[in-house]
Amino acid sequence: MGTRLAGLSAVMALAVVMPILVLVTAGYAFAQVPNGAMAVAAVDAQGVRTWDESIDSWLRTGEVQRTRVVTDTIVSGRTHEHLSQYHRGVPVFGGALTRQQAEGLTLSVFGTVYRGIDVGTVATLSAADASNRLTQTLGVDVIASPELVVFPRDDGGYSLAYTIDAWSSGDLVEYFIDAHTGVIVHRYSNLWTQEGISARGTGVQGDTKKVSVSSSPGSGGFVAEDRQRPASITTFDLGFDFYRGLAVLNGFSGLSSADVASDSDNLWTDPTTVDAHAYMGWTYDYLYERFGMSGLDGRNTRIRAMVHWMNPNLYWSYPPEYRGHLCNAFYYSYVDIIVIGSGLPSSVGACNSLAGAFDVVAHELAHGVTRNSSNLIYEGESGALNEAFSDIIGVGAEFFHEARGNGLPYPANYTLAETVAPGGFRDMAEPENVRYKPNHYSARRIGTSDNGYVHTNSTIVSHAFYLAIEGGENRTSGLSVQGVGPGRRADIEQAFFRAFVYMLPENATMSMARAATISAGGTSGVADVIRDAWDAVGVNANQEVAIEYEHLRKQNSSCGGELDPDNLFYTVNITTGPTGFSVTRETGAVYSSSLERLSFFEKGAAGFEDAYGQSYIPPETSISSYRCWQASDTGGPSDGYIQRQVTGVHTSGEQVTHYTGRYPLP
Amino acid sequence: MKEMESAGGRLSRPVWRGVCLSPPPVYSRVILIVFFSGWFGGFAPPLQAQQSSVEDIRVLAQRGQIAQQMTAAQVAEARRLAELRQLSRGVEAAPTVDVPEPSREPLPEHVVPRRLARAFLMVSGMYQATTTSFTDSVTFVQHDEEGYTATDYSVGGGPAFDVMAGFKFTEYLGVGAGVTSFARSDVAGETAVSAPHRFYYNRHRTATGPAAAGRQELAFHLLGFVVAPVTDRVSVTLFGGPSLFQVRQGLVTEVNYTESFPYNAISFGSTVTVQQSMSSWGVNVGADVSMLFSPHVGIGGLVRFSRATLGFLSSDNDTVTAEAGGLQVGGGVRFYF
Repeated sequence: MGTRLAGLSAVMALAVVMPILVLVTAGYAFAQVPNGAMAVAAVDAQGVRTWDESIDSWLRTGEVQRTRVVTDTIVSGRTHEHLSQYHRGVPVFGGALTRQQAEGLTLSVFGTVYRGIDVGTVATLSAADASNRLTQTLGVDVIASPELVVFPRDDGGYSLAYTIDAWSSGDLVEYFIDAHTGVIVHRYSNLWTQEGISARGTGVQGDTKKVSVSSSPGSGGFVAEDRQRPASITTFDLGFDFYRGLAVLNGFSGLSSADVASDSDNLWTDPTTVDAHAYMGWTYDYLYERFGMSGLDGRNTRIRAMVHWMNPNLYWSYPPEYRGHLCNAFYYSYVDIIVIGSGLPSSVGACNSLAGAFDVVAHELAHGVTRNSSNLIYEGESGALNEAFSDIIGVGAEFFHEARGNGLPYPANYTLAETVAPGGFRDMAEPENVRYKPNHYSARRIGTSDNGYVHTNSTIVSHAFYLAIEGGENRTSGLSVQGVGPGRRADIEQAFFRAFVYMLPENATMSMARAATISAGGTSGVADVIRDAWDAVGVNANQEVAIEYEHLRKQNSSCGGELDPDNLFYTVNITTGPTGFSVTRETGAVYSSSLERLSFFEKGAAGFEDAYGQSYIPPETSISSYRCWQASDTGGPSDGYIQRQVTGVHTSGEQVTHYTGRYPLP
Repeated sequence: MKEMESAGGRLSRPVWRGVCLSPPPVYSRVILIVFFSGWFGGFAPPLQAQQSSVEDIRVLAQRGQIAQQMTAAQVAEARRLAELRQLSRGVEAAPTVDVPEPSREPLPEHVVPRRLARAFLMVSGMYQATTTSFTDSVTFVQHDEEGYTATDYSVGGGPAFDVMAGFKFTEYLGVGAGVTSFARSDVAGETAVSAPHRFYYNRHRTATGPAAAGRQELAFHLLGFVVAPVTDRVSVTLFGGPSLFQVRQGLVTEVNYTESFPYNAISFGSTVTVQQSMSSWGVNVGADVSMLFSPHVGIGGLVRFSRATLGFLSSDNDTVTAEAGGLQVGGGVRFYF
């Protein structure tokens, strides 16, 4: 087991011994991920030692490089080493590891490394060429110098690509341009936002609170610049100058002292400015007092908010793609600022100034913490983790200040933004209560919308956080959790904070988050409660088996019965990881958009074998089955979801249920 | 009023009337202290009393020289004869008895019948035994919210200096004046400060620490007094009257404290104190027991209770009520003229 893996290619060798590791240890697991990725969440001594030796070896060869070492502010003596994977000197996008150490001993390793990279690192296109092509093709504004990376494609291959940040139609998009052909290989929105909904609100609370401002010697008035906290906290008032705001976000124009919100008599009456400014300070206090975090990056870098960018009364005059920002808030990493929407006109919807929701402001600033720590990629599961962490910070900050009697103008709760939009954006206690968000891993949304439903799937994680504190029964799994109780809220918050800020790599999965939070939970029963919470929401340690729908479509073909254009056809692919898997049960269902179950099937091992030709799937094996569902059974919904889950026993003896997640119906 | 008579002249033998005091034996060391509570006022010392007092002293001093040569037995005999003479007056003429002039024991030179002294000066060292206390709370506005400091002041006991002078306008009554000085530098006890939080309403931080403030009292007393001679050398003086107190008091107006982010606690630093002077009328009553060692000089013990209430102006324009004076006990030198 102590074999030194001399090169990254030796990960292949590790993969060979991995089944043995899994057999003898239960402390770490590998998530099944596409292409040649190998995800690791090692927390037991044996697995850690193996990975530790490999990392040391890779550090010497340059296959991984240390990007930063962060001192744990919650558990003294702990450090967290962040490492990035390189291929012949070029960074591998998403290839990252974090190594937790204490007194030179490694305690845990999380991350993903990519194996079998076979691309050259000499680009045909220059960085300027790639940038120009993007500008000419899409008309976007490139706002940062392109960086050459090795990009792992979904088909398992790799591309040498430039990653380019560009401002496009009100969004900050990260493009991956093939360094040889100039083709866009991948893109995702890097605008870390609070999801907005059109809803009715009651407005900013009308409460009185203190704002930490500064005198302005030049004008004789006062400006919304907090000089009392260690970090400079500033609120900028754009005065509803939409195009200036665009210029600022695009990097064409900087914010100056003239943009700082001001008041002549120090009696601040603009509620959006007051709440935005005060709540930024409150968030700073929460991060500092709960976690020992000095600002968003641990170094007290400036914290900024921009308000009154868009005028609700001019809603219809704005380009459609921007209107949503009125009932939204987002963290814009490019210039490190949060932008807070002023709300919607009543004729459009009920949504008041987002500044009136403390959890929203804290949520956005938490994106800044993520940006400066784990830097979770804002897409897929890591994106959902990114959003979940922000929700956790937003809710945690509310409870913290409520307990302190600091004047929170409404009761703290687990619902996001409920004070400005009826019903709120997300409910961590009952996720499905707000726009049918998932409360279980089996119900996670699969697709490309919203960067892979980052704002939707986040509730699986945040619901686990809720259960770990408050306890309760998960509606999907029926599993109950005995939470630690509100009196020990801080234990859970700190465990999640440590995991998300110090332990998780940028491409973390929910399974990794499970392992990291359990590891960070330490003793006193906290780790056990967190484990129970993850079990309840269906995020297992073992996610070796991937189940995917492919070619999901409606087709006017026969599905064992009548022709119907709404008959549903698809291929089910099941891929195992390092261990074999004996299927004992398979279930599937079709749901309406309101999660009404329209049809359901259940098969035992024999039925599964009939469909797939085998009920035991050997390690590292993919099997497929072409299947269909009659419209007469489902009603042929125009909108809804299909999902499936397979239960079985791994060769390690572990019984696990693996899920497809919910695929939107075509 | 009392009468005195002696053979060949008047003999000092007080007979008390009106004041219920039974004179103790000659040269006794009994000290009688009587406390009076009440108001002694409205006296005006008659000038002729002072003049006659000087004359009496001279005459009696001369007779005293004679008396000092008599033995005790001779004196007793002389008294008996004198009484017989007195009884015979108005009845019938008694045969003249040739009473031999008794030989007299010499009286100490310092024994002066003090009823004849017309003025005195008492200089005393005192100890003010009473502790008085008061509290001053000062509100202030900081970080858009009210805070306050509360200081407990305790004026403990301590040394004082007292001077009294008086004149008798009758044999037993007189008026006078006096002044008492008292000072302490440690009258403030503990100061508590409640400071508003920088960022949150109703999140006051508190700290306590020592306060440095002093008290100086100067009390001017107007006195009416009654002198009760106990013996030729010992007398009790009861006095009372109004007092004008001039008090200089240090008051804590501000507390310096230190704090650091996240500003949830403060550390007591120091206090800022201002001196305030106030005057107020009060009262004083007391008693002095004096004993002479020479015709003009003696020692005495003094007990006085004085009290005045003062209203200091706090730094937030509130009135702080404090008391001055108290029970003082001491003693010192007595001068009689």
